Amino acid sequence: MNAIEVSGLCKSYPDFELRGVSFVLPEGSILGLAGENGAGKSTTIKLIMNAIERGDGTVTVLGVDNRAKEFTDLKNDIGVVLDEAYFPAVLTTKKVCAVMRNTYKNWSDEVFWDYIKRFSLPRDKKFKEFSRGMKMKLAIAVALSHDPKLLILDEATGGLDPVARDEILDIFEDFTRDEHHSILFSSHIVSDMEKLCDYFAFIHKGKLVLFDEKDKILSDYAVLKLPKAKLEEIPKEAVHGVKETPYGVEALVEREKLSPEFSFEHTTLEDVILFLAKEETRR
Amino acid sequence: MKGLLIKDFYTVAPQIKIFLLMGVVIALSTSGEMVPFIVLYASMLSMTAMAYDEQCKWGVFADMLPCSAFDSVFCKYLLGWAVVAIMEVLCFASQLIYSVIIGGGSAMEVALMQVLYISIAMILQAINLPLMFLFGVEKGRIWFMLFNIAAVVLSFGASEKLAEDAPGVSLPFPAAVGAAALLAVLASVVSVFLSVKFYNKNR
Repeated sequence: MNAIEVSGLCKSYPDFELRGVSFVLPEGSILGLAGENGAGKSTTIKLIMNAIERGDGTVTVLGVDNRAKEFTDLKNDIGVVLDEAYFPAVLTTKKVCAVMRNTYKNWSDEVFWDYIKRFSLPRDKKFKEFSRGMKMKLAIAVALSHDPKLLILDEATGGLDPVARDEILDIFEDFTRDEHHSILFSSHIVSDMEKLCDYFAFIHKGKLVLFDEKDKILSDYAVLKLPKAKLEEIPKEAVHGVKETPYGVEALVEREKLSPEFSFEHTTLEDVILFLAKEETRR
Repeated sequence: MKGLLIKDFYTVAPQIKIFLLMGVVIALSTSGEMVPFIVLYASMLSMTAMAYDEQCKWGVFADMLPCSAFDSVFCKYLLGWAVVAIMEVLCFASQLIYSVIIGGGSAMEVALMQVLYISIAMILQAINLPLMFLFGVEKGRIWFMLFNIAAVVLSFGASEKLAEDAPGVSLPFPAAVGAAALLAVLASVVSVFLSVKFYNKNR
């Protein structure tokens, strides 16, 4: 069973349109969803959770259509961390625990307080007095404390210091040691996704530009640095983006379409999406 | 829904304590006559809970929880009814003491008055909450005030007209209270339906 199946997902706003987004998150995997600010990552997540009405397309989560009546109950198995923690200012950690204990069927106080201790969060301090990092850690603790099968993380590591972020990423990686656990991880910190993800999707201005296994993307694409005149020698269908530099050009190319004589630069996911974004904009 | 209700109680707990304190002070200083206003005012505490929700954008997170739109809406009604019930206990106790034990009045009349206060409180909430869910708390408050002014003006006008056209005609008090209670229940049912509709519309 796939944890998430999205097909032809569309949503229109006056100044933005999400067009035909399709991807799959296989069970037991981590899918990284990248995109610049305003690309449509959060909109996609809200559509997956049926928090907003979709224009077209289908969404299935843990085998259930997200418009079915059963989906509300299924949310007991989905842990969500959004870009901010939206708890009322007057609640304390203890009170958040009480609220969530009475919200989620499989809530575990023991697991929750373990995370609270691990994240060194105070029990009785009001939420309005938390720093941004503390707020995100509390949200992450809540998401992990009701035995979820699927984690949906929307910019969940934003606002965390590098040490905390590293710790959180380890926790997320541990989460998927259970083969029935999956994560959809949306972020614009591509380096986090490169560490963690099995699959990678890139949304640019409402359109899904890239979706594939992370390792395949990194083996298929590479950055080539060469003089501008030599660019003509490369088959056009192999080039997926070009950037001019004072010394020549840099091009994102498909390795297998080029002869072995070319020597490629070390290429990261971030390089790939930067080139693809510029190419999409140019078109 | 239980979790949502607990959250709302936590957020308005300071206000409930203040209401109780005010209720006791007013009961002691006005021989219980003004305490019913605390009951009516308590019906608007759901609006305060909604204001806190709007302030922290709780609705964005609530959409991710295993709670339906009905849960998110109905918990506000339950909160309002619960707080009215708490204040009503205070009101009933003070009026029992002043009007019956000290004043020698009728316990039945006092009991009927409590039903009337609760009914009016429920009707106020039934009008208030759909406006909040439709317009948001800030604009909803303005619409609610305008509605109240219109209702008061129309009521005065209608009662004066009735006194002119049909002098001496009046509804027996128990029947009037019964009618108010029935209206409160009907208004609440319609109100919940509308609130769920407006909540879904604005998501």
